[in-house]
Amino acid sequence: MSKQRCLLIFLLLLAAFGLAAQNAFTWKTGVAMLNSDPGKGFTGTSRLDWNQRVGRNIELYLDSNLNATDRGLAPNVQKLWHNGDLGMKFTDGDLRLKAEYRNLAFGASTLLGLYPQWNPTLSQKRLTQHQGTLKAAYALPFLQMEAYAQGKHLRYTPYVFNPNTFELEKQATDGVTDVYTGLSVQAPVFKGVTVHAGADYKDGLFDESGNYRLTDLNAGLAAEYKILPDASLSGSFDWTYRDGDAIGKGRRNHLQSVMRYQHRLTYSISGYLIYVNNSVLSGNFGQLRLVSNYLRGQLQFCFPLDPSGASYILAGGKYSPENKADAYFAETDYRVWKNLYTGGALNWQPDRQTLYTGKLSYYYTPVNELHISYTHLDNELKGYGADYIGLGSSIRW
Amino acid sequence: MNRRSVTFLLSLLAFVMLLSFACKQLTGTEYYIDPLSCNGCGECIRICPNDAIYYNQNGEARIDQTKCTHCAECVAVCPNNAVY
Repeated sequence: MSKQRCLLIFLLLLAAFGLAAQNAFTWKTGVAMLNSDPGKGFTGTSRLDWNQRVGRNIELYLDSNLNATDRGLAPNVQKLWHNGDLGMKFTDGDLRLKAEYRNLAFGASTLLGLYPQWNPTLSQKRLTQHQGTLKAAYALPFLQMEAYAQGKHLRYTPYVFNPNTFELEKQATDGVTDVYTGLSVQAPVFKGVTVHAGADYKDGLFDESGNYRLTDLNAGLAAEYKILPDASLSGSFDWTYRDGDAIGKGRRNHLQSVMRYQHRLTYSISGYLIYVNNSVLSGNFGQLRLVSNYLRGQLQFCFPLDPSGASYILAGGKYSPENKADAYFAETDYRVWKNLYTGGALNWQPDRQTLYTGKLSYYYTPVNELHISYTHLDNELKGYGADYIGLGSSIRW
Repeated sequence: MNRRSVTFLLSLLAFVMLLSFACKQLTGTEYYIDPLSCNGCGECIRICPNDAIYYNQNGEARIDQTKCTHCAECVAVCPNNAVY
């Protein structure tokens, strides 16, 4: 790991600690002993979230999520991963502004062919990614406007295949930049119904042939209706014209329809159901073709006997047949005695993987806790399993 | 006013059902991230072997369809099952 990256992570951590005495601050840490098919190891996590309001108009925030392991496990292609952002939001009446810097660090990453369309013989080890975002929004009584611009720069070590030696040769550190920009407007048509339109442009500046260039033009309608005091139905329909070499001609007119139903059945039971359809108008005669369906529902029951509201059972499922991305999940946390909670979770993705988690937490204050946990991962797709036995804490002030 | 909203929503529902059942599936697919389920943890960005997922202007993970090679690595790692 380079000195600059170490320094950046250190500064993010220091800033969070230094500002901890201020407004909302959360620090979650955990270490786990790992026993997997290839061998044993350790993982460590640290997550800091800080938020501070300055005066009436400005809000500052910082998030830093650090994850380290002593060796790369199959799904985690990096031994160190850092995901942090530092930003400012400004609000003055109907005007909202946001400026944000984000840093991603990929320590000891594996070799990847990141951009096969641009350079199929080039492989890269990702180092760090810097991302800057600016966003502005203004709301009038009859119109809401929003514009944004983003720049993303990924630093990597390139490796080039040498046909003479049949080996990959390490090159000097390089980088690629992507830019994203767009604007949108939204207007109410009548109560509960709005129309919106927008344009987005993105480009991979490193590729002059324009493989990663895309212009989106979109328009749509959205509606929301409260069926009952505790139930609402909302929906939207969006048409997007996508102009770019990477998008085949038959895929350029994209249609997305969304329906969402949300219901609080009783004080303790609530749930929602969401359905998304993605289709395209393809061919000369504009034939409708299905891309994918997505149906998801979940139900949550909060145990009324726990005054803190932290005892609950949640269960749900996701059905996405075209992308073979079905999942069924359940989780619970239950107060067993005074400040002692026990929890568990199951996440089953058929033919892909199953994750089982058990946890015992002790809250020494209403918001601060210590816990021990056990997680078992069974990855059917890649044929490996792993057990994590860990302990951690969550501190908030 | 509410009648218009209901009419619109029911029309949309009928349209969606029509799209779901009446259309042939396109060869090849595209993956998306449900913005309502995404918690912004970045696990999908970490695993993606093609730099095809990024944080958009709202801090949500989004798939760049110009880079995605449909390997589906992101589907399994999402703790909230938000990728579909």
